[in-house]
Amino acid sequence: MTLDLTAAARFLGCEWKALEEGERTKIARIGAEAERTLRFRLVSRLVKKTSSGGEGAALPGEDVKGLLKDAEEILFFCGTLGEESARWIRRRFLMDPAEGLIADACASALLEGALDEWERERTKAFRARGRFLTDRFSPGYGDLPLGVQREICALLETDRRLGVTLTESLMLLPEKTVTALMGVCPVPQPHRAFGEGGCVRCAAKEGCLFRQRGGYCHG
Amino acid sequence: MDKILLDGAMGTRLLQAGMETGQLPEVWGMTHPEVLERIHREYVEAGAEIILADTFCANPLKLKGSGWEAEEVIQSNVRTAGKASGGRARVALDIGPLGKMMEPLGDMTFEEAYRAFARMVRAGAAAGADLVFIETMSDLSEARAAVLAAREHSALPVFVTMTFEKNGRTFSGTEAGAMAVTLDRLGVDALGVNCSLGPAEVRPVVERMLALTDKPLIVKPNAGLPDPETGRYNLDAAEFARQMAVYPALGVRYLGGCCGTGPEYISALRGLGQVAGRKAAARDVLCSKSRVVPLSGVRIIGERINPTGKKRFQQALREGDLDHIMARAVEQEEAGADVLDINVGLPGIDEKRTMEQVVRAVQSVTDLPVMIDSSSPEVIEAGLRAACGRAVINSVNGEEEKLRAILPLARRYGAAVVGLCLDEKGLPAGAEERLQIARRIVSRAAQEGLAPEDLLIDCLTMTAASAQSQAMETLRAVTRVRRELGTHACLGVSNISFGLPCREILTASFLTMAMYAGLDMPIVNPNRTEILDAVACFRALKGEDRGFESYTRRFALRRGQEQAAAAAPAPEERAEGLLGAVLRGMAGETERLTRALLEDTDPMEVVEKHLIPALDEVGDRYEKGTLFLPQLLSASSAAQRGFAAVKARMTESGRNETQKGPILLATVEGDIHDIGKNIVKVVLENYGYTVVDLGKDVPAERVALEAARLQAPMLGLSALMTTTVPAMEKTIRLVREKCPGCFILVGGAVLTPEHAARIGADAYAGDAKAAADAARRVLG
Repeated sequence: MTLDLTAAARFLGCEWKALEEGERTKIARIGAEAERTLRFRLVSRLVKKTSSGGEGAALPGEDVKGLLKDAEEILFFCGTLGEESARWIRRRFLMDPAEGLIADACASALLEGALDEWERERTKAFRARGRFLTDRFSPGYGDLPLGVQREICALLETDRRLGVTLTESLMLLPEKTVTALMGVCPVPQPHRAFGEGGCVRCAAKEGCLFRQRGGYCHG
Repeated sequence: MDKILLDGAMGTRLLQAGMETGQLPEVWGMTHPEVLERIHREYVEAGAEIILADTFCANPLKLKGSGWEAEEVIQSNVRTAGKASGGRARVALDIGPLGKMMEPLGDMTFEEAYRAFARMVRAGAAAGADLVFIETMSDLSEARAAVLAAREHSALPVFVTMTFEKNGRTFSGTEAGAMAVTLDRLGVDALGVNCSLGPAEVRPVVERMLALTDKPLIVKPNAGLPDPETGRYNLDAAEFARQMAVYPALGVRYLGGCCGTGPEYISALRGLGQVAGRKAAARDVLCSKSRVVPLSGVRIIGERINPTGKKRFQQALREGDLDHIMARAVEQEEAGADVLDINVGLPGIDEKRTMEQVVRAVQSVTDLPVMIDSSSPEVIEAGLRAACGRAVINSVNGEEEKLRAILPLARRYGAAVVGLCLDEKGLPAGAEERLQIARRIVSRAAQEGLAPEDLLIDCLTMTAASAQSQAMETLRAVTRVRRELGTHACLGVSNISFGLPCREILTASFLTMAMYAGLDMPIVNPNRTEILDAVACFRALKGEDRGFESYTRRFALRRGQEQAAAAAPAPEERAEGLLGAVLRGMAGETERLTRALLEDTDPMEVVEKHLIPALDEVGDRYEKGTLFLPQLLSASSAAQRGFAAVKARMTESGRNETQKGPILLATVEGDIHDIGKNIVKVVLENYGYTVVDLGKDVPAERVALEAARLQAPMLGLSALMTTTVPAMEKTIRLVREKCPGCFILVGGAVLTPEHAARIGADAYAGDAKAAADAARRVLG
């Protein structure tokens, strides 16, 4: 796993280029530790699309319906950096809060990077079979309710296969975990600009920090 | 010895029989008893001598909302298995993970897990199960909760298997060897591995277990590895059996299959050979869930988690500030401790509850086994229940009453135990008397089934200044205990130098002498360089540190660092340097320059003219965007070191520091993301406020109660997700009722100033700096 340091800086709210040499060295040092310490694991499951969503997981909401318009199957997946990531970040924070914060950002960037890499690889593999993937979509994006996490986790057996569980309030544990889906379609899929348009129906749009900074949670 | 065959997969068989994806297999099985019975019967006919009832997920947590109670499902499915067996196979109550993560990283308490498992065990026993089979566990803490529940709510045999990855660890970091040691000592009847990978891939896990336990082992792996897309496993029955053949030859007694296996796989195992004899396992070890510490050579027991004589630590215990305690744990681990002593004895606190909390908190951030240190058997038991791994009890002594109360605990929880060489008659004067007491402890321990290596005899260090001859008596006793009784020796060494100058030198010298006399488990402060230096030198000279490898690593950089630190700052450098040091987040440098300034400047002037302006400068730069959040945190941590130096000077000169606050902080109920709240805490503390941190996932009632109890002038609440904002609103409402004057500040990713006002907060803070500004406005 390789960490994109500029992505880590972004998670810290900084521009990599604007950072002083000392800060860059620090982020690079902690980032290297993250690469050594943390491991990415992922489970996926390909199911048939049904009238209500995917086999074993209903998917309410207009946004996901639009995304899966052409899909015949749905690829559900869950990627995590595991409990070790929570422990590592906590330790870092206890010994030096600033380093803890950097560790947290490095872990987030590492997770995103690993998911991107897996997605690229899957896209290639499906394309070889004449199949095309839609963008990645997660519970909580647009109007897809967070409650869908429960079904996705059950479908993927994330507790048994990954050690990933859900809290009563639908948060994924360990924290550095992502669940998502992609549609598998017979025709090429556009990259939907979920950006501004995709936020319209989002329950969290009002106070969204990504929007305040001019970005999107899924961009 | 004959092998004993277990069954194969259940879930995939049910799917093949018509169950739909997403349905609970236990409920489906209950409502289709004829199908369930057929599947069990096929396994029995294939040769399974133990079959697992369809109860893996039949726990109150997973059945919530299904309309069924655990008892109903368990009773029905255990009986169906019994019917299918017809007396030909034993029926096991199958217990899987509860599907929630345990505290402190997760939101399930040990008690919650224990209660859920206890319900399952009672129901299983009542339904006629022959044994309890706890399987596919990932977290050793959860497996322990299940084992204790099984043991304390039935008389049935208990089998436990966990699921491992290729690296020999579970998803939650449990190491195979540590699992074997912990469960062996907890008294399970058989243990091993299930699910995980294919038979060939789990071999290193099994070998690791063989090395550390003499208990019968279980191997119940998957039918190879699954195809990532189709989920189909790659081994057929014949190949599965071929790969499994090694296990009886290694001495593994229980064989079966997990995901992807069916009756034909079990049938194929019938042809495997007899179970071979095994070599005796290494038993002289301690462990946490993630690390096994063999007790060969010198092992350092860190003594810093103890309130005696430590004001800050006492305050942390009273306020429930687990962060401070966890930081002491990590610090000692990084310094080189092998075991951590945990003592939370302080008048006025609930020692039992505190012990549980501290043990769990410490083990959530370190890999080290723990030593439960208390004079109360009740507290010791609470600590042992909470401690994951094989712990040590500190301590018993030669008094019969103590031995009677503590030794059974050591046996029940599989712990090692420290035996102090004193008794009803008090401290013995000579080596011989110490040895006699030690002998008595060893013999009483043997009656309880404890071996000499389960004991750490403490021959007691006396203060040399008041009893000079005692130093050699202690050492003579250590040598004889080790040679004649075969136990380990532990010793708190720092007492030796009490009342004498240059204590560190004397203590380190005594430590070296004691190690040479046979001391193998010194109880020390691992943060003292000279103590760890002495251990490093001893290990090197004794040959434990082959080729001076650790020694060289430890001392290579020492000289250059010392020279740099010795350079004193010039006077003019101090003031300007302080600003720079704070800005660059150099904590050590900030402290050094502050001390230098304090030589000729009034402490208050140092605060007002140097430290506060430095923090203001940091804040300005942060707001302008030329300094980023990690730098803000580093800078404020550095400033705090400066403030600490000032406070120390003021205390020395009898001036009282004024603390502002307390500011109460909490992440609201249902929310487990606490990094934002933790950052605010650090910054507020560094600005000189007293902060009481209630932690994460805190119920509204508790926040209101604490706010009222402390009459807190200010409360900070954090919530990250939209799903937890209602909990924040409820908390605000309750706090308004119970503590009307409290200023409530809120923050979190989904909040805005408008939203904050709407839910009744007094202010919104977008980041830690804004929180500090708000505190300044409210508290000054």
